[in-house]
Amino acid sequence: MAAIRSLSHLLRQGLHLNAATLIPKTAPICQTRCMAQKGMTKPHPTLDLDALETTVTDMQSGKYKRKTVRYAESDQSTVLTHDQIVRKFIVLIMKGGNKDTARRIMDKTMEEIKRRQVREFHRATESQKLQIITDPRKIFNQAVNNLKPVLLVTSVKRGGIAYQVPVPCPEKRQLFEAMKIIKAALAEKTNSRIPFHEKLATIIMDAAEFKGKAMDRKIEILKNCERNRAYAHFK
Amino acid sequence: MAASMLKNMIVGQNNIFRVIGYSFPHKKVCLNHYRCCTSIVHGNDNVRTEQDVKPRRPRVCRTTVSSPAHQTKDQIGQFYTVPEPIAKKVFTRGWLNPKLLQLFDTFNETSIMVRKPALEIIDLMKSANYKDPVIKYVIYGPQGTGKSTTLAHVAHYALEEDFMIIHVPWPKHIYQFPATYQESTYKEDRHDTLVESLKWMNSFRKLNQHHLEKLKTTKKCVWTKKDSSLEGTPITDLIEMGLDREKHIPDIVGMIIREVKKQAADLGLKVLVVVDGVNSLFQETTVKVAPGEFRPSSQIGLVQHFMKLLQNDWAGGAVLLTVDRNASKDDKRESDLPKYLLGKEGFAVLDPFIPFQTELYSEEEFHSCIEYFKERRWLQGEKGQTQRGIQQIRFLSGRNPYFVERACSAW
Repeated sequence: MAAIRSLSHLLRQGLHLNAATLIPKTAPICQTRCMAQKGMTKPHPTLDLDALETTVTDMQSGKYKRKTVRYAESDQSTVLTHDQIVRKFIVLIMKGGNKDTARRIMDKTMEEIKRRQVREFHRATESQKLQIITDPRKIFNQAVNNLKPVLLVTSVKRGGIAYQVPVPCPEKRQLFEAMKIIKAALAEKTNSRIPFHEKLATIIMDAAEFKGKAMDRKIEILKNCERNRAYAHFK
Repeated sequence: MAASMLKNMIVGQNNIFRVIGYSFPHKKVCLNHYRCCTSIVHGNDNVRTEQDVKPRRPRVCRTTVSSPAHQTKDQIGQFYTVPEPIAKKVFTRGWLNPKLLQLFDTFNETSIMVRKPALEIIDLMKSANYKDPVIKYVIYGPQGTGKSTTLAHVAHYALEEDFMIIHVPWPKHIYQFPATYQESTYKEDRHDTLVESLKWMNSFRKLNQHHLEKLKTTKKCVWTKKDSSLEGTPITDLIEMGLDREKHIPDIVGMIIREVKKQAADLGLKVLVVVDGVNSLFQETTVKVAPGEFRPSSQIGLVQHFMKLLQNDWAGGAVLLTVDRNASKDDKRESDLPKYLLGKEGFAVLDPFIPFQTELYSEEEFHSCIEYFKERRWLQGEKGQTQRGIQQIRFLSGRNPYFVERACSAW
């Protein structure tokens, strides 16, 4: 009642109504946003099978603690082939919410990489065999690490003109940028009709060896940064 | 209660195929199903038997006995390497699943597992009397358990024993959506598919070059008014004539089969007839006679000739057949048993025959297969080779040979 009385009092006085005056300082500015943040503080559910198989007696012994956790993601699983970085890439190449298709393509890609490497392995001499990596997940990780850019350009407006300003790429964003480079390399058109997973496999395997289309793209980004180095002080 | 219901849903064999996502395309797959339930299954002690948890002694997954004639029960579950000249003839496209051939290519060797049905058939073939009417061996079993692989294994034995092999890869390819077809020049009420016949003729000639030189015709045949071949012309000449004039090929195939049936016992020629998916010999085709009216497969030239090989009226050979769910029509794929798939008509033609069932891997065979994949680097990575990783493969594949390979491909 007090609030309403004060409101009508203000109106009667003929003052300009400002939202900030109505809200007490102690209240949160946006309540829904705060709720989301509260939920995000919970830890992710574990994918460790040893921990999942614990019984009640283990809980009592103090080896594991009971905690409230977030809901599991729809594509998280306890299968040992599950890989977090590959999972992120699947989400990136997905189109129109068809995660099933994206996952199948990625499975095929991994198989293709492995097939090529194993094929090479069995045809190589003993000394060459030591150098061949046949684990596709290792190759994928290596490719992504090689493609992580150190610099990026962002557009900054000064005096009505947009400048391309080189800035250091934050470490959190590097993984995403590397994956985006692979995706952009995929979109390039070729004359011959190659299946998607084979194309992806060649790009990843080339990137692991510092060559190929994706690597060219990364070098192009760095060159663009160097071209615009005169504007570096804008930010 | 809910957990036990879920468990039942997963552990049923068909559901496992669906869970992996490699099921047949017309059935929609719920991939998330497995993900929701894995933790429940692993957390529940009732699901795992004692056998899975017990550490296993290391097995020998290979044998050096590379000729099927000398393989015994001791070699069951072990892999043997097929010599290259035979692998080029028999372990090729048309005989085996392309996925398996791809695997041979990546491993740089052709090796398959010695399994029970193949050994049983070879044993029977060894002891059979080739002056008596032919014995028919029919292989049946669920998808991916090695029906075609068993055929190739027995064919390896047959090649070593100098058999003549008449191989019909997949009868459906002869009459379903043929490139061209025309009415037969030899008889009414019959259609011939020419491109498919030519293809079959070429592969047949390649496989049995030296056997065909022995055969000669016992009957005069008239091709056209001016053109005819006399009695006693060699079969090889006939084949060469057929390659020049394509429209006669189905008739020439009929000639060859008639001569083989007549002379096999007299010449001491041993013949192995191999048909993969016989149940498709007794179906309706896509060859159109009138609007809405299609020829039954028994009125297609080449199919009719092959049907004659399945009869009991000749000696000097063995007939090796598979009955396949995928070879029959869409509405007739509910069971894998021969009587269901062949139908009344087909069963009457084949009867009597000896049935052999191909089965899922036994525990020992499964672990031998895993050992082999480890050695060939198909199963790799630190996690994949642990006890738990192997346990997951076993769970995902349901010990079905094809799905074991598919489940290992992800690692």
